[in-house]
Amino acid sequence: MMSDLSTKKKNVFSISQYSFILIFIALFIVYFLFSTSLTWTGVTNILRHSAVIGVISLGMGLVIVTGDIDLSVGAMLSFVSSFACIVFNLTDSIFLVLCFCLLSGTLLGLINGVMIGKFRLPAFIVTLGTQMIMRSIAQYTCNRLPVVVKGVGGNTFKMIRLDNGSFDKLFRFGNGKFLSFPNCGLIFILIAILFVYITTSTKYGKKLFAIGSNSRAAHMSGINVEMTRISVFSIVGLLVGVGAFMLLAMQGNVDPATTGKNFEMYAIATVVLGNISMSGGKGRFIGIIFGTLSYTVIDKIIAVLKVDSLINDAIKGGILLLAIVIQAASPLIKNYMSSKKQTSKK
Amino acid sequence: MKDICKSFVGVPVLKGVDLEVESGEVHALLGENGAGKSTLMNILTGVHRCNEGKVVFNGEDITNCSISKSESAGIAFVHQELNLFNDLRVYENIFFNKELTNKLGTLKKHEMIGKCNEVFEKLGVDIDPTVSVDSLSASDKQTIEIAKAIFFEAHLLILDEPTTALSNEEIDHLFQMIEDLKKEGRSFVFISHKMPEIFRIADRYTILRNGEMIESGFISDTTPQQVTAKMVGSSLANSFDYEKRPLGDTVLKIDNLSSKAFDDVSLDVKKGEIVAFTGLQGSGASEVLQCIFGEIPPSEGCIYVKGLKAGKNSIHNSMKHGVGFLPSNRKENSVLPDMSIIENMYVSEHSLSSNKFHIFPQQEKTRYDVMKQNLGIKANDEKDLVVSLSGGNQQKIFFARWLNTDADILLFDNPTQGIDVGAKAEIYKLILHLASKGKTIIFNSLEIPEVMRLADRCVVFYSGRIAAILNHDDITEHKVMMYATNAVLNNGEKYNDV
Repeated sequence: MMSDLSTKKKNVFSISQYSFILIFIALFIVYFLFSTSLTWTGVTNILRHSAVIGVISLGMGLVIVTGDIDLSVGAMLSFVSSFACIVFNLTDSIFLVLCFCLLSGTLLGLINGVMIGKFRLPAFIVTLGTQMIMRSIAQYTCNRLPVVVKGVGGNTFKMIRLDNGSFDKLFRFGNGKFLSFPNCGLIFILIAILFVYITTSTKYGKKLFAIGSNSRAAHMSGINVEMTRISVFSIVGLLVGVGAFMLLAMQGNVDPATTGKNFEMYAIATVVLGNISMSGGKGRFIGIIFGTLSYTVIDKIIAVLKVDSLINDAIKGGILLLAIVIQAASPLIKNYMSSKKQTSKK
Repeated sequence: MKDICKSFVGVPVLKGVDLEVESGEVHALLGENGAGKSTLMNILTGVHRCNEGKVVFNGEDITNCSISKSESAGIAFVHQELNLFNDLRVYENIFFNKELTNKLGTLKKHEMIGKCNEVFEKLGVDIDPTVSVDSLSASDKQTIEIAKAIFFEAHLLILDEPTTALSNEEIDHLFQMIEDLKKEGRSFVFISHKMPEIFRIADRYTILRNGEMIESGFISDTTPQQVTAKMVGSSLANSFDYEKRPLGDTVLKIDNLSSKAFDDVSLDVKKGEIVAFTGLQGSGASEVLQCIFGEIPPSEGCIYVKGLKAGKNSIHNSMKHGVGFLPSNRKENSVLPDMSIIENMYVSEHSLSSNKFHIFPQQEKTRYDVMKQNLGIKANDEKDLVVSLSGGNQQKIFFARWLNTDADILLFDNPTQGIDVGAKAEIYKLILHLASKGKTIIFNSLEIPEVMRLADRCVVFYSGRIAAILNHDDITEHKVMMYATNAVLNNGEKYNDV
């Protein structure tokens, strides 16, 4: 299933299954044409700006492959990065911030997972609830803490810059480059490669597809559906933690009201754009990489055109619909092509 | 109904069947699973169309009419699985789609509730029309179905195995209701496998076998034994490929196992033995298998696998002890439709060996090829979707799924369900071959010829208990049916050779 390209006959038809690459290339060409002076930095910046939403989309991909959904990722990003900011301001330790991001993310994911996997509550409702709770708590806390802890007045958190250079180190890491690629973009690509590996070549990955395909049959085949669901939501939490850490490293401040706003929707959209079936059990994770990059390129195009950025979502929504129409139409086209082939043979 | 013929995709299911039901009588329609009873009733109610023949009801020709036409003519089908909306109230269910309304379309709730109460009183039941259906017992639900039929002036009620979910007391009440309605001139077609009930309630009977009408007559002129014999026919044990095999030590011991669906089941199974479970639908045989596999927790009793007491009741635990289970209803319980053939074959092995994270495709392919050859699986590419295979080949993949885990106690629930005759024969050969290789096999089947061909011993279940354990040479369709329908106990005779 993962390597349909192996036979020549299938090669012709599987282009439609890789529609996300075509969409990305088309968007990239548009970007290239409109931006008068596109530099290498401009290109690699696409990766940088895809990093946070990208890792979150990978997590969303896992959840959707098992047939569930996680609406809490955006709020979780806001929650984890807000409190990580407090941790930094209190301890001035990058290490502790990293630990806090990863652990609290995993824990929050675990809570979602236990409610969904163990107690069989519907994922849509559970994560809708935790979404509202987490963002609200982050905002509430923000309004109530003294400036010493928040780092800045008003409704945002800011990492305090002390002389010992911790903040500078973190900031340099977040905005630094390795072999001309932005660090955060590289982290995203590494994690994406890891997830492509997990979903194509490991027993754990196959389990996820099995559950999404037919959870009853998966259960009867000996898969521990409960534990796997819990693990999936925990992994999403962990990835959100990674995203929160990268977010802090890149910008050093958090607005709990707007950070990660609608990220769950963007993540779902990129997953769909990447040709992963919303009903679960089907799809390739490589699609998520291209889905995310496509959405970042749209942002870039709008920035280049100097259009009001409020039109952004209309374009993203349009692309999403276009992608799904292509996906839905491709089997029809395939049938048409093969029937034509048969008649011509006769 | 006269000369009804019906074929599905070229396969004849009914061959010239006659059925005559007089007004005010209870007519028992008898036959084994797959004899054509349901198809016949579906033609009567307009669900299916017949290829030949005529259906006349109260002098009116209603051959091949629509469902709503047959309903308005006065035929009501009370299905085995009740067709009620569990979240709606009782009266809403009864009046569903036929609500009483005033001119503006507003529901006349009080009138509907009042009418419900009248009918319930007449039927002698105490049901509050305003409670929601899911709070009711199975027998109350059945009553509602019958009440629904009476409301809309049904003259002929078809009851498809109405007693499966009922207790004895509830059955008494149902029969009382049927008696009362009979006096009003309403007729019943009563489909059941349980001889005692048929002989208690029915006036006449019609027996179908393999789509043919075997006999029709008055219940008072016959005996349960004669009826069973005619249902089964004269087909003899066709055990040409069965051979006696030497058996090993006891590998599976079940001790007083009980749960909701079965009671006090004890059994010893030896290494290399093929044990068949059989019984009517709902006899608990399938549930015993599920319990051994760890899918249903037992309320009492113990399972010993290879002398060790099974600890935690879980599927994973059973698998570690070398138990494999092929569930019934392949599509729901086995098929992973979005996954390839090889992925479907490996899913169980993966869950056993999940500590070894990485998949080595080449190793898997080698093993798949061996399996493919051994089981005679016909498939082009192991990366094709499993749903591209025929039913029989899919089933072989699921056999392979468990053989791949090196399970040596294999439980098969209805392994030949929904596959054609040729593939069935291959599956039989496979089961015998596996047993000769030392695998221990327990399978549940409703088809007695299958049991006769394969089983060293046959365990017959009747309403959750073991009714009899027959040795290979003693298994006949006749005997099995007798025990499975409880015809034996009711007539005071028992077979001595058990």
